[in-house]
Amino acid sequence: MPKFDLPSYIANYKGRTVFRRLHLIASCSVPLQEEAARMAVIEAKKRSDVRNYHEAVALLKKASQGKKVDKLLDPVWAAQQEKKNTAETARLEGELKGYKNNLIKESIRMGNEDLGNHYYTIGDLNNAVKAYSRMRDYCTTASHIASTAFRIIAVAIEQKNWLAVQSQVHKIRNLQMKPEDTVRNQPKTFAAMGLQQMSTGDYYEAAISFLNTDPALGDSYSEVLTSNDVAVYGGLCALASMTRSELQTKVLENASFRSFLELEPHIRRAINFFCATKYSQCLEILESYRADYLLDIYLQPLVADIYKKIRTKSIIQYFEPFSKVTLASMEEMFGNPTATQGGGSTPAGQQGFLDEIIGLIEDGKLDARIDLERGVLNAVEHNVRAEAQEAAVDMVDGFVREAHMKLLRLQILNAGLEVKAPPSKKKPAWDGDNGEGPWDDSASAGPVGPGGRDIMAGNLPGSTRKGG
Amino acid sequence: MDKILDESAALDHVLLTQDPEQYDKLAAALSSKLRKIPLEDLAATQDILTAISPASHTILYLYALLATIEASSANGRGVPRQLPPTVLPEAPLWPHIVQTLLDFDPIQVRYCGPQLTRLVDYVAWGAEQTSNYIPAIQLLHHVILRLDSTASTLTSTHRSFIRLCLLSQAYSEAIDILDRPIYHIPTTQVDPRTYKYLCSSSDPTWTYLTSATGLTHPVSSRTYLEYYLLGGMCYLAMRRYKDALFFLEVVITAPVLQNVASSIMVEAYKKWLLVGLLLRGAAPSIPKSASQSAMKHIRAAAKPYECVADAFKVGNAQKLRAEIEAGGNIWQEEGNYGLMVEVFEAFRKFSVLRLGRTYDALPISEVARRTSPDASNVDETRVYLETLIAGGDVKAAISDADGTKDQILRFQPAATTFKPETEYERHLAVQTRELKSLLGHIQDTEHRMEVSKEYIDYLKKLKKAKDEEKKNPVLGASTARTATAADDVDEDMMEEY
Repeated sequence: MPKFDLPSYIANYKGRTVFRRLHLIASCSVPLQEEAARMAVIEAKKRSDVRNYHEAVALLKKASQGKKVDKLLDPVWAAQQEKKNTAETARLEGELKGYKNNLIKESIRMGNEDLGNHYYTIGDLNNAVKAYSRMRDYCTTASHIASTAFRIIAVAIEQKNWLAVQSQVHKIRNLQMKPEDTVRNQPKTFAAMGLQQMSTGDYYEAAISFLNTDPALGDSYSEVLTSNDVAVYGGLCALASMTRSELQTKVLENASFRSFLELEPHIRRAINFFCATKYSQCLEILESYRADYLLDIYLQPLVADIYKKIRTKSIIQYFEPFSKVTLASMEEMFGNPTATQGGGSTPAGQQGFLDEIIGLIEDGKLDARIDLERGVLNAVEHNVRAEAQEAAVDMVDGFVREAHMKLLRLQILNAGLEVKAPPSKKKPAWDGDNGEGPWDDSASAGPVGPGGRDIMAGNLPGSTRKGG
Repeated sequence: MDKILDESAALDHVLLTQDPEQYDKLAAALSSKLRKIPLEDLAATQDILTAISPASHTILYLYALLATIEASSANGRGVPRQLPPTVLPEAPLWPHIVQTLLDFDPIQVRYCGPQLTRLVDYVAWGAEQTSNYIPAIQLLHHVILRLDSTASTLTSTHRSFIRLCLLSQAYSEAIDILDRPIYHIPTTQVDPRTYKYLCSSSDPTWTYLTSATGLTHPVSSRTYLEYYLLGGMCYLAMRRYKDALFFLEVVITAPVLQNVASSIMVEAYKKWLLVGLLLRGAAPSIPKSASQSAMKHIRAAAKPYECVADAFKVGNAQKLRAEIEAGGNIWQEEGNYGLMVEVFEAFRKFSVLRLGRTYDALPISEVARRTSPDASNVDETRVYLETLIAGGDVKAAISDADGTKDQILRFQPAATTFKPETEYERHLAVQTRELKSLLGHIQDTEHRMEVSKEYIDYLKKLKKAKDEEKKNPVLGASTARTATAADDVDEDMMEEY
């Protein structure tokens, strides 16, 4: 059961993301399904995207299950809006053509911008990107380029085209702008970049980006994300990727990020617990918010992965100072993520936890061995000197092997002994389906004597008559 | 005849050390003279074979012996494509052949290479014909080492020898030669810079072990591919998987022209995959130097083997068994059945070893559950583990049985399994020696093939200078520079005085 209040949550956002978020919640959350769908219909009707409206109606019909919802539905509106959209498109295209004839750069830019905005609002994202890209050719100042890039970023984020987001963000960062513009754009670029990095799985980079986001962000980017989101994303990414000392210095002692964290105190508590090595409390907090995050439009596909990373890291960090830990005490600490609270000691849960540990050892993340007889997890003792010696011996072996191989290759090339196709045949020499043995193959460079029985016979005829 | 005998007698060590030029001339002349004498004449003087010794009259003896063989096959009722019966073991000429191959003079023989090679062929061929391999193997082994005590230049004799060894399962003899690494492969053209006289004994072996002197047949791509494939198989038979892997890798990384691959490479690839599994418990990664297009063909032809390797990697015993059973006929036909059985057995061993990387100790019933084909039969697993431990494959111990409780398999901690330091020291010393000899050969090869880094740099510089000259045809610039340089020198000299 999610903890947030839907109307106040959604009020934080504006623009198309409102509908997308409502749509996601309506299609994924059972308790909030009907409410979200209802809001989605109302939201869609306020705007001019007819496809969104149809989607919302379909969701609402499914959610309400036969209850009367007709008063919300308005098929006439949809048809009218459709017509209005087409007319508007035609009008803007016409205007643009006019501007182009006049060859005034600024007008063409604005014409393209209007057209792009229009496509964006009616949900034709591909055409919107096209219009915005055309618009860039007519940009004259740095701030124009920046605003174009932001528009493309907005569309690309909705399309989940992270590559485009990345390239646009870099474009903005490389611009030479007036200082006050740079300051204004900084929070948005960092937030967009963090979002992109998080979505492509670079949690560490994402954490750094979010941590560098200026608190001036406020609600200025609410068509994409809010300050609360920055706190959550940044916190989770940092938890998933940073060490304890990094968390302490880069997150908790980061003055600017602190103001973000104040918006989401439970994230700060989780990080605090992690730094204080109270891993179970940390995981507990995160677990209790799992439902919330599963309803976040960007976080939804990543929650499982991020949570698993945090959990893995907790286990590794927990084990680090010990040379021996009983499995029972570890299990008490971490339990089973999927088991219901309090029922951690069932045999199935035990086996699940053991499998998790085994997985970590096999992946090389946990340098330890399990002793099932005594129920203990032992850290591996390393003999650095011996290992170094072993490595040296192996390395020399590898080098000798490789050098010898290369030398032979050089010799072969020098002697002109590359494997060639036999001149007489057209098709490639090898033919595995025939199951040819090495003795009667057709790939040989040397001729096989008449009725050649084997390799030896192949060589003899050439020399037998020479002495005469 | 007597004159020839005199000339032959003149070729002794004294002359060789005092006047190599004269020796060279004499030997070459003798050889060409002998070539001109009609076969019948040489063959007629039968008693010459008993009168002189092949050790001091190698050239003469060889010619005479071959002429005799020719004569005996010409008037005998020889079956076509079969050797004349006279050269087979136990035949009248056999002792002469043996004596020649054992005692020939390694210097003189350079002037009658084709004849020696032909004799070697007779022996090898005869061995196959009569299936009496042992004498031939011993002779060839001797010949290879007598011509070149390091055996580091690949000759056709190498290949024949390994083939005979494989046919007669004389693996240890084969390995004695295989263990001497090949560093040189003879080319068909003679490099004029390589030697002054054919007889200078200090020359490295690759200068005379070429098809130009006739001491080897021309080496084809097939020759060396076969040598390495067969060699790999010998190592396999001796279970020296690491060496086998190297030999097979040489074959699959063979350079290819155009879009082809030899079927020898296909064979090698199949074995290579399996050996990789046996050695490391995982399919080896394809070496970078292998030709991509060739690999594509090879892999397509070796599909069933790749399936086995995949099943091995996934770690599913049932699937592996199914794959191996499904391809039973293929393995049988291609002679890899035994290897496949080994792979299947190794799978279980590696499963146990992998447990050692996760566990310090665990009950045998658990081992059985995870690795045994029959999980309920704990006793069988215990016996299996005991054999592994006894064989040294797994460093572990099994706790004593105590009534009701499960027996425990306890792996030894990694720290205690390291070898003592003296062992490492010895190992490193061996490696240093190996490396030194290898580096020597590398330098030698680089020099011979004009690919040493310094030389290439020098060529680059030359080319640059040439280009520059082309660019500014006005000679003024360069001459001016040299002039100033000369001035500088002058000034320096002045200061010194």
